[in-house]
Amino acid sequence: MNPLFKFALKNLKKTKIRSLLSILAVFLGVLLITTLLVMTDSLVAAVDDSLDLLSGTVVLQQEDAVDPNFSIIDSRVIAELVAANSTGGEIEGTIAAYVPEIWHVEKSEAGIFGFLQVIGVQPSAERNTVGVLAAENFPQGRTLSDDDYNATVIGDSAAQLMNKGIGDTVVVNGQNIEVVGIFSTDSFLDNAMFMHINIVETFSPQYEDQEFISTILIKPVDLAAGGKIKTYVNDVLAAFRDENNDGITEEYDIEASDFEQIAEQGRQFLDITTEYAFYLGLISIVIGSLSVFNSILMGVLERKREIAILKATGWTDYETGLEVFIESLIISIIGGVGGLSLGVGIAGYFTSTSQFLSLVVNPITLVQSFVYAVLLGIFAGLYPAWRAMRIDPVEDLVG
Amino acid sequence: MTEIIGTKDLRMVYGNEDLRVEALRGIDLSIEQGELTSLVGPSGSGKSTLLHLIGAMMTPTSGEINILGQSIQSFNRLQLARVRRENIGFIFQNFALVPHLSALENVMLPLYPINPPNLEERATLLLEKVGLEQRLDHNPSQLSGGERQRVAVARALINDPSLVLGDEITGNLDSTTGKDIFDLIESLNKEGMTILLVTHDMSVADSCRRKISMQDGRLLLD
Ligand SMILES: Nc1ncnc2c1ncn2[C@@H]1O[C@H](COP(=O)(O)OP(=O)(O)OP(=O)(O)O)[C@@H](O)[C@H]1O
Ligand SMILES: [Mg+2]
Repeated sequence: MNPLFKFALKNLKKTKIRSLLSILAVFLGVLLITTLLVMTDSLVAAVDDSLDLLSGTVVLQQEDAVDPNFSIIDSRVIAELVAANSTGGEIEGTIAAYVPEIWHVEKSEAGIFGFLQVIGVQPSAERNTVGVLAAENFPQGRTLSDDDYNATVIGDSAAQLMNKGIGDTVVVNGQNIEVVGIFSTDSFLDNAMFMHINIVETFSPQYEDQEFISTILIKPVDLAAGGKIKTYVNDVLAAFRDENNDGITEEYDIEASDFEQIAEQGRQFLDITTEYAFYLGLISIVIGSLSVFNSILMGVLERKREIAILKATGWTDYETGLEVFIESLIISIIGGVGGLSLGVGIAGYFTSTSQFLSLVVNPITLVQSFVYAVLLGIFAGLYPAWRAMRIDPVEDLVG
Repeated sequence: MTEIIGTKDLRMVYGNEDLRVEALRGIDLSIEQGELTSLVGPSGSGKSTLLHLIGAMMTPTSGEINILGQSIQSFNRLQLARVRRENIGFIFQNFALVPHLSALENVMLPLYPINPPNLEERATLLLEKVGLEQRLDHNPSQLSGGERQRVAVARALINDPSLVLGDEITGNLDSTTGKDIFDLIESLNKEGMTILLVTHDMSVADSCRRKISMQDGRLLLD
């Protein structure tokens, strides 16, 4: 070990409690910034995965409904759309499928906040349910087929929460339904369970014979055509509403939206969140570095005489400053590495308890946290080092 | 004979206009290789000031200082530090050891930043030379006053200096222990080391081959 480094370590050891406290301050600062940054990275990744799954899809939903669970629409609109599209026009041939879905919330102790998301679909519909039921999403069991009137597939997060596996039975709306597959998409849909729309339509009188449903997903042949389809569909919907509006019910007030807008808003929100998380972390690191500054400066002032002796025996100003500087770096690096490791650990714990987050450790984030810890250690060490450099060899020695 | 130290009209004024202390008022001194010299004089006569100037710890107000032929009076802080590291060994009255380092580490300390090869072996040899081979790992608080000053002597020798300066090195010791330390210094001188000791102890002063006295910032007799 380099003797200068060893000497710096011994000086830190001499004031053990003070050194430990400033290590703790750096540790907590880096811990906070690492946890926040890793959490936002994981959040961004989860949202991106969800958006990828949904991008290009146009969603029909009751106007002003927050999500399909709060939406009831007239399913005859599908026939209208098909008819309108077959008359020719600019979007002919751009729509791959119209996918009706019924969304149902089941009270369940195993679900998030006591609720479980059930989605009724037509299993074989082309590019069904934003692709969740594609066979490659099933690491266990199988996907649904059109004659599965007593089967369900569940997302891996939901399976874990409900503690259910392939072959187990779940009770939904009083019916026993067998789990035949577990899928994984790394999106929020992994918290849901899917089953045949003919099962879900029996859960509530309003869905009987699928006269009314929750939502219709329109899948374009080419994802990029989503915007064009949305404009077209909104025109058809306006006519449909004018024709059927009875002034009382709202089942005809249907709105088409695509996920590009939602995606853009989501990304903007996450950008802002990341930025705030970063500043919050930065403040805590600054507090940590003030503590290092204080502790190292006190050390220099207390050791004035000793530093004068070092200089009398030939240490240069630079070497003296370097030794003090090394002390602040040791504190920052120990605190930084500790905070970084535990920060990733805590983020890992949080994401493991969350249903749709999985831990994303971006090396750039780690390097960033570490660099800030070291940089602020450097700032904390500069002034005390300079004070040490200015001490004269004869300070207090004149006898 | 080679001149180790030479000063010409060396003057040192402390303080500012309001509070001027003329600590040295024109010192002309020459010390040659192998000399063992004592510097005596009343308190405040400027002995320590002269020793610190010769020891390259500060620069004079005016005049010249030569150490081994180098004029150091206008050296900057870095150049002075190099002169100290390469040529000077300093022993203080109060031992000036670092309390949380062992005897061995205290001896190595001056050369820690450059970490030359065999530093530990050299430090061990020096501690053997001052009779402390059994005390290498002891901290200063575990050593007697005389033993501490022996560590300080060993530390002053670690850079293989051309000149050893001591300021009241027996001042904190009883007369028997002081005598032991002086005997050690004398034996170093017999091996050829040039030594200058500031002292109030007349038995030390009288045992040196050359004795210089100072008063009011001037040399009295040589
Ligand atoms: N840093 C300083 N600032 C101002 N005055 C100083 C300083 N150092 C020494 N002096 C003054 O210079 C004069 C000479 O001091 P010096 O320490 O050289 O004396 P000395 O001969 O070593 O005395 P002693 O035997 O008491 O150690 C004294 O009057 C002292 O007060
Ligand atoms: Mg003195």
